[in-house]
Amino acid sequence: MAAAPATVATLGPDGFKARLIGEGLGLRLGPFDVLLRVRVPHITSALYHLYRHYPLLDADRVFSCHLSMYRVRAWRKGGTPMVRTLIDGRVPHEDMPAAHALPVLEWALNLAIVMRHQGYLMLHSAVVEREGCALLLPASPGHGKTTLCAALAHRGWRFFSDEFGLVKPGTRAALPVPRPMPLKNESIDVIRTFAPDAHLGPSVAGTRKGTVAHVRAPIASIARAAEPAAIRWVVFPRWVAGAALELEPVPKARAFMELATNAFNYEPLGLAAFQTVRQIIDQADCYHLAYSDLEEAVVRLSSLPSAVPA
Amino acid sequence: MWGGEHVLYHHPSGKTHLLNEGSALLLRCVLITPKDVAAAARELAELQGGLLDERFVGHVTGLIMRFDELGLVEPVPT
Repeated sequence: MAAAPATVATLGPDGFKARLIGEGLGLRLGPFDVLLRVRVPHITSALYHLYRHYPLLDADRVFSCHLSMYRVRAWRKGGTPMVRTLIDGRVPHEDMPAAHALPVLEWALNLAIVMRHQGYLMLHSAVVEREGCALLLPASPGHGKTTLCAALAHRGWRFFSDEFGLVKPGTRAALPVPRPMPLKNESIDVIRTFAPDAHLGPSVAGTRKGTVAHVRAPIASIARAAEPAAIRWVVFPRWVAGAALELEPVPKARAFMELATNAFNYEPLGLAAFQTVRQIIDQADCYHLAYSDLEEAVVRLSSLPSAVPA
Repeated sequence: MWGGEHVLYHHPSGKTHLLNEGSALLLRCVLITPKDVAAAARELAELQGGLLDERFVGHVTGLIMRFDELGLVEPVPT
């Protein structure tokens, strides 16, 4: 029996810090191998706890991308300390406040995935799995997909991603990219209450998206990050204050358009994307979900039959 | 095609379009050979078993103009 791959935890907090500021920390995130170099001391401990269960890679290999972050000097006295991000040696956006370094690093990882992996169809979607069937939850920002995904991930569903519905063109198999889930504002306390066992990183206030705290991906989901699953359901969720739960079937052609327009790279992939979305929609049950009660939504989604009707 | 609605991929532009039954019929069965708007409207009305009146011709004219804007059809010299 092959030995389990070493995880980040084998380094311990000090070894982790030394790698981050030195040769770089090689991480496997689903299909992506990333080399992280982070010289921002105040986020090292939080990063360690969020990433300690991930497969650790030695630095002597070809990585999908190199991501660095370091502090930059404030030019005027009393200026806000800032951090700079580099993706494969290039600065993808302006410097950001050092106090926001943790969410900025996570957003940069999202950006790196989008920039470097255009060969996959990337749906803007949370993804979870049960009984070998993947559930896509495509939604625009603010519709509550991360919160719903975090809730499902702590009620027996395997967590794939809160952000990327990653599909290899020509298939309908979703690929896991389990990463920390960024909860925003009220969602932080909602998940603390809903899943007291969830491990949350620090709350970072005042970011562009308000207060952000990351939920660590469940260990079992990280351990099975190489196992794809066929997409069985496509559910477009929307959290609506005070709304009674509604799960309404969506006509397939409408679901197709909604899913395609929600992808990060549908048009660049062209015909391959069209055919892949068609394959997904053909085989999936598609719904609109409106909800306000998280518990009720989780129970309803968990009752969807996984068996395909004859 | 699902439930009377069609999803069309247009190779030259890389765009995807959602068409209802009538629009799909016009594009796939009527405009496969060059014809003027009046002939297209007449043929579509026959295929759908509908009434060919001024309003319907206006509707078909609008559809053909929209198809032209999207590059799905093109005018040919008469």
